[in-house]
Amino acid sequence: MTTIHLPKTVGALALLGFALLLPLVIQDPARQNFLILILMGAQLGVAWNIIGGYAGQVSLGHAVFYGIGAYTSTMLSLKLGLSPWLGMLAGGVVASAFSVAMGWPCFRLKGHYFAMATIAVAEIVQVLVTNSETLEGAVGLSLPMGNTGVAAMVFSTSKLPYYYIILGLLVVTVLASWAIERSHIGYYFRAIKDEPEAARALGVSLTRYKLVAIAVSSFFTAMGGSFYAQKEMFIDPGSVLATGVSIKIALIAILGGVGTLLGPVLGAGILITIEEYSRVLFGSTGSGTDMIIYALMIILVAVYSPAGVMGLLHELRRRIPSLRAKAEVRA
Amino acid sequence: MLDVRNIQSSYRRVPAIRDVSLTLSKGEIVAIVGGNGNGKSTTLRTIAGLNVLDGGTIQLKGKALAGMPAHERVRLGLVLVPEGRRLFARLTVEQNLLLGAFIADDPVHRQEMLEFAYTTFPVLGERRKQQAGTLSGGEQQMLAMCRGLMSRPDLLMLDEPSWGVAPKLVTRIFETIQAIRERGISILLVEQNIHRALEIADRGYVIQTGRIVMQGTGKDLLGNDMVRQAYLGM
Repeated sequence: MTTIHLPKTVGALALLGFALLLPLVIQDPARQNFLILILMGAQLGVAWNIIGGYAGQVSLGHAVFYGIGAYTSTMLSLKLGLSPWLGMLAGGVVASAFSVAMGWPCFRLKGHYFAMATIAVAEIVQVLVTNSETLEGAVGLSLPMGNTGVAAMVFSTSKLPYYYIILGLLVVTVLASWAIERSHIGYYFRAIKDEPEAARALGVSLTRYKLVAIAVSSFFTAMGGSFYAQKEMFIDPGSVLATGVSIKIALIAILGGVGTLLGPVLGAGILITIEEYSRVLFGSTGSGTDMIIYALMIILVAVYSPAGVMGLLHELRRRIPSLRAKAEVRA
Repeated sequence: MLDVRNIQSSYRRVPAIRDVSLTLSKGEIVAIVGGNGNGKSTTLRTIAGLNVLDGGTIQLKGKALAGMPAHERVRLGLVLVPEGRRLFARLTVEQNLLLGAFIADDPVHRQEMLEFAYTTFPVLGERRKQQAGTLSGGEQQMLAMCRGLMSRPDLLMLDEPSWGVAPKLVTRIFETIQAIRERGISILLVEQNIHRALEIADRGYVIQTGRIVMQGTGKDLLGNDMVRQAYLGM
């Protein structure tokens, strides 16, 4: 087994080194911003994957957790002057608590019905926030411009700090996901996903472990939401609570490969690239083009590779040695 | 050990079992036999808590089970090996077994049960790192039974253990059921392979359209004319 693990560790460190050096090579702020968007998408995809991939409970309402993270850290910062570093953790905790309250009834539903319930919850919260005076409704919340620096997590002169913060957050999220994948809890998740009845017949409480999965997933999703608020310095229901956000988060993981550690990272790379380029190509006249592309990708993944891009890669890797073996036999 | 009285259960208001009563004492093998769609599996699933109990009472070791969720019944020593085995196909043989030990935290016992599984079925030991989905039907059934044993049940309920198993291995499966009983574990067995089931059972119940219509020792039922005509084609 060690022979397999060693190259994996080396590969992971090489990948991390590459990510650390990349923005030093690519210095154009617009390109750096593009890299940040990919990391943000990747972090959300990895977080979604914990409930949607490992535990197999497809949520199409993750914008709720994202929005809770964004609104919690922003409100704490505006009203109490709390540092967003703490606000981020607070947002995660609030989102986890909310996810458990929401999961309790929703996990009585299975499959598509669960997914639909999550859409409904997300829509309800969006409408509530849009009509909430304390949260400034549809107008949204702005963070003050003047207050910059590490403590305020606002940087005006360079994109680099944002890049390294989101990279750090992504690494933490991947590590948490990796720890779950390897622990006994990861096996319970997969057991629940593959054969829920058998898991129940062996004494695994389905609801309890689904709640664990969604609590962890929503915690990290909310942290991503807080980061978004700090980076954009403006949030409104349309940008952090919309259905499109939920779909994008799920699609990143599904496209890359559900239930795999780094599939969502790959998915984010592909999806965000397409999204940004379509925006550059079509501009505002093509608003909605990205939605058409999402739809197309869902169809392609569903028809040709339900295991996502990671599934395709595994398939390739399986075929290449067998091709090699054939060539050797012929020679 | 188990006392089931007049239980009823239904699927979307269509009654599947109307009136089933049965008892099982410690160390017994009891078989429920009957044709397809007569409520055999539903009876086991209702006892396990996977189906809703509409009426009647179920007592395990003197404790009423009504309303208790399925996963908590496992802690009382009640384990169901479901029909069709329901293995975690993409996990390895060993991971499947360890999941079976979900409620058994004691590592010594866990190791002991792994060894029992591997000595009883050496093929499982040879394939412990292999994905469960790649095993043959018979091997999968052995694995499912061993997985059920991992939590050290007092009562093991087996739903169609000979389903999809090569005839050569069926004998092996039934021998194992007897070997499990030797370890002091009681067995409630549901089978379509009526002859084999009644041969090893201490007592048996015949179920028809959701009702127990006959009961007796395994030998009596095997010799009964009605059973022979209806189910054994003799």
